[in-house]
Amino acid sequence: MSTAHGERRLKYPMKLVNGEWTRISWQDAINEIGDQMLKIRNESGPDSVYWLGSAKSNNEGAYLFRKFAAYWGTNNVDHQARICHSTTVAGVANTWGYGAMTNSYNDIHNSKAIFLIGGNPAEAHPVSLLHILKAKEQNNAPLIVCDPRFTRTAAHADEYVRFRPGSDVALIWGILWHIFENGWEDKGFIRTRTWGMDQIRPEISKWNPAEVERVTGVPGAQLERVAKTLANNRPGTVIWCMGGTQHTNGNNNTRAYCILQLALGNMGVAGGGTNIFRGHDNVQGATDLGVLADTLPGYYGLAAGSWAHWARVWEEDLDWLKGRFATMAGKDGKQKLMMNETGIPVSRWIDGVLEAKENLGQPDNTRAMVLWGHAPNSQTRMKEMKTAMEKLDLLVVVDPFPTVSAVLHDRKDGAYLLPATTQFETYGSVTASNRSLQWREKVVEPLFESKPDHTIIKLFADKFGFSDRMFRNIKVNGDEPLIEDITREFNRGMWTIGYTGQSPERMRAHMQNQHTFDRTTLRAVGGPCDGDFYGMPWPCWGTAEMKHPGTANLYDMSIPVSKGGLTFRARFGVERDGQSLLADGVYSKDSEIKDGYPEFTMQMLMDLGWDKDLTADERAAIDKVAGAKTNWKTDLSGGIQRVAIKHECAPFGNAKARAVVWNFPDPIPLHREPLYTARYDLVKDYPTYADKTFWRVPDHVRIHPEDRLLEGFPNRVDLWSTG
Amino acid sequence: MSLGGKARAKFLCDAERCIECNACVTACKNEHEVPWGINRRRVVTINDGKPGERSISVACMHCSDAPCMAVCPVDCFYQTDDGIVLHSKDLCIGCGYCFYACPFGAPQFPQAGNFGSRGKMDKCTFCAGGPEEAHSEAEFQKYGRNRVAEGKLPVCAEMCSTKALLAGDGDDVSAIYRERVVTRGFGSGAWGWGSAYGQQTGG
Amino acid sequence: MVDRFVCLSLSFLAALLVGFTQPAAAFEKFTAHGGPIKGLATSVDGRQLVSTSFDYTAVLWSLPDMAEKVQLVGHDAAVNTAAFSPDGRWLATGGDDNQILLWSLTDIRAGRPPVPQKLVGHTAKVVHLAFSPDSQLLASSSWDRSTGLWSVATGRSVGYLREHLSPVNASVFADSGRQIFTAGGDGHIRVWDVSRQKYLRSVVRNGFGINVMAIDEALDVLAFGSADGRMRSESLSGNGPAIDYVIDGAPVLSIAIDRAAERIAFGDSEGRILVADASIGEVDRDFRAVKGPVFSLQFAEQASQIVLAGLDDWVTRITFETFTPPDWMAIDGARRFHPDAELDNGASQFARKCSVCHSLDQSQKRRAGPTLFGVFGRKAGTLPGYPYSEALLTLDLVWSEHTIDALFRDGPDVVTPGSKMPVQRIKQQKDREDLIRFLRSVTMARTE
Repeated sequence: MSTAHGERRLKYPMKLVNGEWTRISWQDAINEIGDQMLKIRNESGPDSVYWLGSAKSNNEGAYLFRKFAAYWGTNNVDHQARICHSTTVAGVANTWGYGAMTNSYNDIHNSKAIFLIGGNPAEAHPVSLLHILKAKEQNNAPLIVCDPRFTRTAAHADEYVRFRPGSDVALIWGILWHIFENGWEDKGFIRTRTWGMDQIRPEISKWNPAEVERVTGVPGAQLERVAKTLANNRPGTVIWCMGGTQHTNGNNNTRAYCILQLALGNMGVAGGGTNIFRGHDNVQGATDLGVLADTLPGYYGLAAGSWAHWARVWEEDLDWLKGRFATMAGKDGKQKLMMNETGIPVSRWIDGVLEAKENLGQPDNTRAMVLWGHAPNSQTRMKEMKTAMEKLDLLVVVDPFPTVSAVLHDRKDGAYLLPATTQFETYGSVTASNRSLQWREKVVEPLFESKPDHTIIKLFADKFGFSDRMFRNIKVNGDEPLIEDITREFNRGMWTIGYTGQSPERMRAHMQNQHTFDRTTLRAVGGPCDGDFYGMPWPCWGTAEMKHPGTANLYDMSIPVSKGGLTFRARFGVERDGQSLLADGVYSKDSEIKDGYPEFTMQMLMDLGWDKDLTADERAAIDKVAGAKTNWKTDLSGGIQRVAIKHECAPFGNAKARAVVWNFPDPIPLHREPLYTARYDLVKDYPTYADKTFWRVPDHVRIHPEDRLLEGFPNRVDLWSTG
Repeated sequence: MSLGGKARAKFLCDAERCIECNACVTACKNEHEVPWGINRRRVVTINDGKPGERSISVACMHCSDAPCMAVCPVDCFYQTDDGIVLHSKDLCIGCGYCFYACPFGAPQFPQAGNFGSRGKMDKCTFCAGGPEEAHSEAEFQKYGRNRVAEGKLPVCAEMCSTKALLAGDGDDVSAIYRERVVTRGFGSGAWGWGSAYGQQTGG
Repeated sequence: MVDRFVCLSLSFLAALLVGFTQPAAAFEKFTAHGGPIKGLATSVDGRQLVSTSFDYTAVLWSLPDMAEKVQLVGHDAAVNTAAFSPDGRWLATGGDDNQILLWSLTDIRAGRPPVPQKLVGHTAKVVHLAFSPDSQLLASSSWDRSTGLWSVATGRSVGYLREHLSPVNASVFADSGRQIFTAGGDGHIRVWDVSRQKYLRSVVRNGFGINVMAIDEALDVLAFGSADGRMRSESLSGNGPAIDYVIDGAPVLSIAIDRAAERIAFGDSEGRILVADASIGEVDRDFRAVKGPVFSLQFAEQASQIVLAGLDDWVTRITFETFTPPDWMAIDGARRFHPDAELDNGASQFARKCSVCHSLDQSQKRRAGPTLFGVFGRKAGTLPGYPYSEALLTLDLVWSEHTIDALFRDGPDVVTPGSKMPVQRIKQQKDREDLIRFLRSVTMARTE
């Protein structure tokens, strides 16, 4: 509880005046900050204000924050997850549909082997070790820990693999080399549920034990033993954390891990899966609810259709919303709407401030920075950050504590601290690593003059004049928007990932009946929540009235979709290179379609003759969106999902996971030397990516092998780090 | 102030499970508002960074035949009916002999006390307070919270991430541990039980 | 090396032969203190021994006759440890008063009254002292988690080495004084560069706290004893063997090395003493000598003897030639503050809470506190011969049932503020009444 009543809490709004922090009123703070922001907006456009959000907000705060940024008119909104698991989300979602932990901590009880790479959960996720060590004890499951360091987690491993930092892909290919060499792969699974494995195999065949040892430092004999252990102990789970993701080729790493599981046939099964451990208490929820520069809530993206969907949910005038955003001339000379352009990521906001304006993919530099529940000491480049903080016109920190943002810089004025509450002083939902939602109750009233995030958002919305629009469907008591109404609003829009069935009432019921849930399966046995999975892990399809139980283990075809089963998502079309991308003759239990199928649309229901199952209201809602073109993601009634599941089909289709992501820089995951490599001799064989402008800012990531010959090398790398 | 009359309070740290997360240490400090510089509980790692590395959560084990009691020159220790070894900070003169006698390094001494008071020894109470009246301000100030009197178990074990640290009646605790040992097929021994309670448990 | 080997062999042979001759006393006790003895140290020439006690004093003895030479009074609390300077000029003592006293052996030998120099700066008890080989620096290990470095010439602090996370229990110079090894309750032995006072690295990570440490560079030995009952010796150079003499014993509290005899000894909290060949690790003797801790031990007379001390008021000397381990079960473990007999509450209160510091008659003067003989009606701070604190000398208080009751009800910090008496309260009124009744009966009945 020291978080709540600790001596270091920020008590009142503070303003920096001639180098002194001075107490001011909330009203003055909002007015002064708001006036300056409106001035910046007027001079430089809405993209010059950066809204950095938080993994500590509850789902309602996170959702409202993203909506607020949209109403302000920018995609310069992001949060901590960008520097944690964004490479995971992209890599994993592009492999089989969803970018999240596929199973759960508890499900590790069912694992026969545990392969842990790039993570030290004994220190970072202590409670997860309860489940890992339980599997180790009860199943005699071998624990394989791959890490450059002999960590506290490695101390409990049966097999510790020490490998060179940044050589994950080479290591995984080195293991798969033995698996394929010995025919230990799951051929049936690969044939029916994966696409592109045949293209992966030639790459893997290059990674013979000698080459793997040259690049990773791991002897072939050890990796053969690891491969054999994984082959002989199925299902096994693969776990990773920041050690895998925080690399210039983090995407490749995460996809290589996925391919390992696909080759072993460990996906969609209790005890298997990719158990990606998330960090902050609500980093999963903040990600899902789109506190991100590249998507709206629910991973809808930023395309015109995405905005249209959310405008429908918000009952907002789409043209008004468009008018909130800037336009800018693109490379082709045409004006582009910034609304559809990915914003600057949290890791690069500094460059938004410091980079020359003409090198930026937005109209002007970042001039105001709002750090809302984010202490920037989690980031590198502290020196540049200090410079950037000093160069800003306006720096606003919204936090329970005066974080490093308050003291790092040497500003004399133009900085504000606004006291936000902790999670103990408000209530609402949060999403755990395993996609389960939990409802937190308020423990104490807000301390000092602190206010909860959603109230502060409301105050700014008032100041900017769009409160009536933003809260048209959300009841506001005084200055506090009603949390339950916010939950219900995102319930009405989050069809993609099934954040629709978890109503406040159902979540509260789960909390009150925790004792009825099984600690391994997560399913309630008896009681009012009988049959539900704890916290209704998403996707919890359809409306709350549909009472879908949630999906504990993703892509598990052994149970019907209505009971939490699932297929791989048909996210990438139905065909590639003349081959079908749909599942080959396999389907989830009781599915009325006995083969692969694409994602559901109204047209598909009509083709199947299932549209007759829709209610009149559902049909009317579907017609209102796009008629026959309305799909399972845009149907605000949930009717398409309901009917698909009535026939035990997954709304998002039944496809193959793809080993090759053709729309990525490396369709086949390649080993690339890490940016800070000590092995320049390998850069020629395994080059880094080329430089490019990415997410509005220049990205210098190429190492030239000849650079080492230049005087003062690795200055180039330092240059990158100084933007 | 009792675990139910017939209990024999014991700690057991399962070294196969302890991961040195220090949740026990933090929970203890928080629960009892232990002063800066004193840790009633700590996690010791042996063979640090080498194969065979193991971590063990250590505090007063409330030994059956407590060696601290045997060396104290001013008789400040006493043992409750539940076998919890407590001490009186009123009687303690801070000589430190208990520290030398304790195989667990449990007794702690405050930093920078004036030498006249010489710093009263402080240690784990099994969350059972001390000789002051249960739940009194004096008891909390000197010994911390008395959870046992509330029918609760020590907070360190309750907060243990991996249930490595077990606290409670010795029979219950060793039964849980024995079950684990049987499942594992081997027992590396519940660390410290031999020296604390004069007996082994499990495999 | 060869010479020493021959000597050693001969002494072994002699030991075997002499073993058949009848001993003098094999187990001798020498009493000069009025409280437990925490520390022992021998001078480099082996002719002097110092013992440091809970009774606030140190006593200097001559060897081999174990004659008490002088009592050193100056600490304001228990004296824990002592060290002789290699040049034979200084004796340092450290105590629970956080102080180090530097005594001139030249003055003492000349018969001048010993007046120590006070080295003040530690903020917790000082538990170990060591001089640099050139006698210029003194290293003090303290429970304030630092090692203090002091200039012997000026008596001034040179600096504090802070890296340990728990009490520092021992600090020993090496490499001709260029390095210092420090051992702590955090389980580390750390190495420092002395001139730069720079922490270099941890060389031992024992996990459990290290209580004692000894280094002998000629023997290439870094030895330590730990709280988890480990008696271990490692090779300083890294080229020799590491030897675990004991791995799961009782807490190890004392250690000594005799270079010439190539012998190492450990003592533990349960009276166990282990003597071994420091080079090859072969154990000569392993026995239990006393009931209770061996706080300190020293070799004497070319390692043919060991002197040891613990909770008792006396120094014990064991001569190996004539020694057979005692029947440990038969050793009487009772002490005045750990009485075996059942006592009535008043007597018990006194025995268990007061007797470690106070006697009841005039014969035993060397206690931490003054005798309580005739205490009722005596003005506080007036017993002749007892070195009272300034606070008590100026206090206007007469001891009576009422004031003694107040003393234990409110505590010495309230009733006799600034006195040397540790803060102690007896909360139960009944206990205080019984104690006072007992004191009345034993201190007044024999009033002269």
